Amino acid sequence: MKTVIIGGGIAGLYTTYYLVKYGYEPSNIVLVAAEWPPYSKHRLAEILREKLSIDYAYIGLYNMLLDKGVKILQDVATRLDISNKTVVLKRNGGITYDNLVIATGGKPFIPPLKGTELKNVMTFYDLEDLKKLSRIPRTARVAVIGAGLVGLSVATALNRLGAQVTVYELMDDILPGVIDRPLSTKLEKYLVSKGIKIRTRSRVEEIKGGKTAREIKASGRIEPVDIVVFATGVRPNTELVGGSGIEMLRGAIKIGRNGMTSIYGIYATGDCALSYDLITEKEVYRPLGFVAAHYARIIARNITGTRKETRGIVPTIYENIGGAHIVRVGLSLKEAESLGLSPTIRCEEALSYASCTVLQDQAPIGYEAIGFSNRIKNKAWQIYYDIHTMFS
Amino acid sequence: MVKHVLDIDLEKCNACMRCVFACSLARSGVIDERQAMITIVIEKGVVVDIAVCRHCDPAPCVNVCEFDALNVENGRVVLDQSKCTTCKACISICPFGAIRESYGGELVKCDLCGGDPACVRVCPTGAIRYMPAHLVKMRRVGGVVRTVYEYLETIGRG
Ligand SMILES: Cc1cc2nc3c(=O)[nH]c(=O)nc-3n(C[C@H](O)[C@H](O)[C@H](O)COP(=O)(O)OP(=O)(O)OC[C@H]3O[C@@H](n4cnc5c(N)ncnc54)[C@H](O)[C@@H]3O)c2cc1C
Ligand code: SF4
Ligand code: SF4
Repeated sequence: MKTVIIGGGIAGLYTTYYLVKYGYEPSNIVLVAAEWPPYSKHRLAEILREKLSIDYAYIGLYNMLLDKGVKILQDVATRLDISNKTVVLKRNGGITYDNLVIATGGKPFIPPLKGTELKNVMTFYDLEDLKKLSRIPRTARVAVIGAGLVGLSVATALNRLGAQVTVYELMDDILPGVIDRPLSTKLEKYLVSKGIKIRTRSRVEEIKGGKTAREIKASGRIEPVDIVVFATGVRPNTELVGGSGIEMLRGAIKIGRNGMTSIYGIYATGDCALSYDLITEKEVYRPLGFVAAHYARIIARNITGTRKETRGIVPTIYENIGGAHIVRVGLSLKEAESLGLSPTIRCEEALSYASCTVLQDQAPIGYEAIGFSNRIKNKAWQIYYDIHTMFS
Repeated sequence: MVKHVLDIDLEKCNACMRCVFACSLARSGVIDERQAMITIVIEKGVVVDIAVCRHCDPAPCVNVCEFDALNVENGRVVLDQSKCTTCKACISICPFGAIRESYGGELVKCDLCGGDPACVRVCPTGAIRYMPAHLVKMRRVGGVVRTVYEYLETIGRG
């Protein structure tokens, strides 16, 4: 039995790791990776902020997999020939499989606006972006589009390095969908006090300039700019899969509770695929590292012969946003609403600390917190276990 | 050997920071708070917490790590840096705020110095002691007197 894994990101790497851990013969695994060695995007903002070497991004685990005899092909899969169980590669021709795992990840989404092709317009998504941003002039005027976790991480990193940062966010509040009011308001105040300009309810309409961007137009207002960073989300990278007959939804691969796609023997995990939310049992697109690894483990179990299914995921998020500790476990109010629930929220405040519990019919379904001292301790664990007791 | 963990008595801590420095030295050879696996949390001049790993059983962090980077070895919860991707799920879930990010996203978490914790050796007031796990005092959690361990056991997850 031969298993081919396409994609050397976290999803592909950890599927390989779990296969080996669960006893699959390493020499029967082929990992096709366009980028190698594998690295973690979760460390990019920290590396930027601390001006560290990109070596910090690499995940040490790959050496162990090489030692065990896993075959790594640094190549690009260009076509799936499902009737012949073959993956066609750019350089190495066709390789056959018994099991296939699609882990082609995501790509950053940039809204279709005028001027996004200009030279100093970029994203914050991979090692190349990190290298580019580490070289910008120290006091550059930077516009960050999108106040999500990635946008705010890069904004606070650049602010710390001396840049003049303005964050543009279409929604009413920052970290939309991640945390709710009043926590988002507290974070906004904190970031403003650090010298970051925040423009919420601000629709970026155009980037202006000749070859390079010079101005940004948002909700009618024009401001000068040296660098524009789009942090407007991720979309599945699934061109390879299009037309193969594998079922998809809005560009993402649909999977079952065992990680298998609509075609027997073909699995998918990571930013290319959908996943399930444990609380609502709905299909969701959550491009997060721990979601990729959760399904990597399930898929490896199924390929190695232990039937295993997952009910879904309870998000467990922490981020240090310029010194503010942000915690989110389960659903936020906004995310719960978008999943069709009618939740309520109950908040409390202590010194340098505030938290909210999201409830549905009196039962906790989410918890969010923000802390400003070096205290991270919170009650997320309790809500996490309550959710598991209620819903699993 | 019976499982030992750190027992914290907040009242005795006078924020001398000896434990933090000793921990950082033991881990990295330099004195640097960000390299320490123990944190003294001070708010408005008052010590409100000593954040350090209690080697929970069952351990929420081990349960939540999807990357197999946290495991229990000889009753100790240990972190394998080569498998950690810094997804930070464990930071969000730790009941004690005991896992932190250090440089470049590397995580720091107490490993009990292999059984002879440096912090305990230097603490002059007895605020940190190395004790058999079953003797560690009951703590107030969520308004109810119960240990985190007990709570985790009642709901039977690990
Ligand atoms: C700045 C940033 C910070 C983040 N922080 C966190 C965090 O703190 N916690 C968290 O849980 N998540 C975080 N995420 C999300 C997380 O990084 C992603 O969910 C995760 O990287 C997805 O892994 P993946 O393997 O599915 O995709 P990718 O990382 O996109 O990897 C896919 C790989 O497949 C390769 N590939 C694609 N197509 C082919 C092909 N046809 N042939 C061969 N190879 C191919 C690509 O080159 C790529 O290397 C963050 C993301 C970003 C951008
Ligand atoms: S949850 Fe926190 S305190 Fe408990 S074992 Fe894990 S790191 Fe230690
Ligand atoms: S940050 Fe590292 S140790 Fe913690 S849950 Fe993620 S991979 Fe595991």
